[in-house]
Amino acid sequence: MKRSVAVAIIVGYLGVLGMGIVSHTLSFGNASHPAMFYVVWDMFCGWSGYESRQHLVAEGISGNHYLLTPAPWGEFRPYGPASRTDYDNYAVHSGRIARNVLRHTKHEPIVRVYLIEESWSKRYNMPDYIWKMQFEEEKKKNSYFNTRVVYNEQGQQLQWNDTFTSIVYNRDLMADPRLARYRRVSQPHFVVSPSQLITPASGVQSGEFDGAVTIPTVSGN
Amino acid sequence: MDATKSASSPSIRQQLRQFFFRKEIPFGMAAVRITISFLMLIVMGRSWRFVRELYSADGAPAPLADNYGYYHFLPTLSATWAVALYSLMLLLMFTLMIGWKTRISAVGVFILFTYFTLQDSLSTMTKYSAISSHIFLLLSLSACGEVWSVDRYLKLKRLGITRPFSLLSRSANFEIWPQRLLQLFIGIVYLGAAVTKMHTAPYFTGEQLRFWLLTNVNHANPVGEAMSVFPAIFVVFAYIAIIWEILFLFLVWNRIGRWVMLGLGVIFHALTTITLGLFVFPFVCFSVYLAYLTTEDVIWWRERFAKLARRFHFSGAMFRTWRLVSSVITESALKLGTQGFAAVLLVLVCCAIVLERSMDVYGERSPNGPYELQAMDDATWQKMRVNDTVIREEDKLLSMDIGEFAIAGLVTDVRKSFKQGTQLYIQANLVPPHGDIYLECNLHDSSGVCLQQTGRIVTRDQLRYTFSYYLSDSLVPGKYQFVLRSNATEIARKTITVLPGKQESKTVALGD
Repeated sequence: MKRSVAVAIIVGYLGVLGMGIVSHTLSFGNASHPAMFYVVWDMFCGWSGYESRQHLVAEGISGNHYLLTPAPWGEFRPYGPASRTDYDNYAVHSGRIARNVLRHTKHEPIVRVYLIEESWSKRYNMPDYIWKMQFEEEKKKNSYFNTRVVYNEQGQQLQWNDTFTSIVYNRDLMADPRLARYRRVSQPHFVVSPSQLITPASGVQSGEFDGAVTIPTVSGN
Repeated sequence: MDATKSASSPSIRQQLRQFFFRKEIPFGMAAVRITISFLMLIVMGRSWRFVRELYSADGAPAPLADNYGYYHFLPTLSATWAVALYSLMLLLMFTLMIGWKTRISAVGVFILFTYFTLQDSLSTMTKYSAISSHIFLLLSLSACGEVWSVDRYLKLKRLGITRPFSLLSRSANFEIWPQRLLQLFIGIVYLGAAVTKMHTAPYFTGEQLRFWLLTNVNHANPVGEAMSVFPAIFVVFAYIAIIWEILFLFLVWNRIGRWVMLGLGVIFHALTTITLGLFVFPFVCFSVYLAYLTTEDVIWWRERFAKLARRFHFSGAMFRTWRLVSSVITESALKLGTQGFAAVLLVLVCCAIVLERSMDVYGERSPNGPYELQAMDDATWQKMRVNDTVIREEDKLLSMDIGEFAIAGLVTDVRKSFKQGTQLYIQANLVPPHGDIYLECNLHDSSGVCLQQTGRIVTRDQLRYTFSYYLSDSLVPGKYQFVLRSNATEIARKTITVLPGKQESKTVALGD
């Protein structure tokens, strides 16, 4: 009995680990469930040419602005100089962080909270002695600011934007006049009912299928 | 002949049985138990002060499940419960480390550690946390408390052994399958890491590593920053690392293979500390390596240690201190028993709750009330609110390297003086995203007059472009400048000195 349990554990455990490897290799279901984090070994899978930090800023009813991070009681920096919000790459948790700071501090009524991404080219992360080896020009770091998310006073999302690098990449892509022309003539739409076809460019039309209705969507960045 | 052979060589089934169910003293798992508990006690202990904020409903937890779209996947605890259970987890890590009520401690640590790491994906959950969860799970299935532990001491005492310390490192043999699973686990982790690298094309061209070396989210990495000037070396390291990661799982099982694979692993992880500023991850992996410890290794190390101790006369003081600390712990454990164990944990958890409350993390019970938010100056806000997503041309350039030799497409001998008749490479390494750019590389003389112009379209997917240039004899020795222009804007300028001639050596070479 004891041996059978051990065999079942061995087979089950190695089976799960093997499934993780296959899923990761074939990019199939590798992000389908939080448990996949325990069997998909994608350390250092991403990288970026830009270093980024995220700032939470609250806007008061008076028009004054308040920096919510670092929190006034101090903050936990787990792996180096970056703070918690800096690791929120998908802007999923920052609203909760803002709400927590607002809940535990004295302040005027807040109307908006902004999650602002600050980015700079990683060439400015070179120490000065390396910079002097690499460049004859003076080191003039330049930060780019991008509003990722706008929350209301309850912490609900009002507006969501892509990351700085994604916006730049997509904008460069859409600067191609040929692609821009195709994009203009092929607006995305959803078919919700088989009665009419609606497109943003032409309004209500008869569809190819009798009565197809489409609702225009706002295209992303 | 065949019949003899089949009778003498074991079947696959027998080999598997031998592999998983051979019996050994669980030194490896005991060593893993001590090191991983100690390490995680330090790592998790650092954030105890922030439990309320990071893990409780009175703070801002960041559940990993939210990233996957599974909201409310795990319950969020109230602050009191979070502090109580987090403190209990730390205490159990300590009892697991010393091997007191080892099985209960390991199970408790596995459940609580996994829960708390899942509740904070921003500052607690990393891949080393996931690896640690696996380790705690396998420890809870193993007989890791049967050696080098308080439990072993208590067992010997109950058997009436008068000097139990001398027998702490001797125990019965146990099936090694949990140890085998841990050994296989780390091999599979490395295999997965190799797959990740295969998915990442810039890993093999050096760009990914170069940008990671220039990233400042981990601890300080001055050596890595200095190494970023020599990108060709990363290409070599990249291939060595991926070959090692793939081979690990297959070669680590025999004596020589084990030393080579573990030795390379130690070098690899030590380099990640030096170059990337990673500290915890390498030590987690080193602690897993202890699962490869065998009885023969322990005997070998014990003999070496005894020799060293005799040679340097340090055994006396060390052993006295060790014996004193161990005596206090083991005798206390003996007196307390199981009920005492539970009572001590309960009392300490209550103390932790009281202490945390008295700290008043949010300052709400201070005489002045909660903290007040400080207004930002308007100039800073005005700067922040501008969505400036048009990248300056100079920010698109990571480096401009001039040299004569290239390895893996990367200029390796970056210099400032060259002889006439030299073929040069002027390499522009770019920072993505840079869009499609028209890149020019122009040669100017010392008075700024442009002597030669050359340009090329560099598409958005290219991370570098290399211009080739022949320094002809018609260039008078002296100072010149290569000027790099992106979309008609100057982005870098490098001065070189042209030295008189390679003419003679070139002629000789041709003559040969």
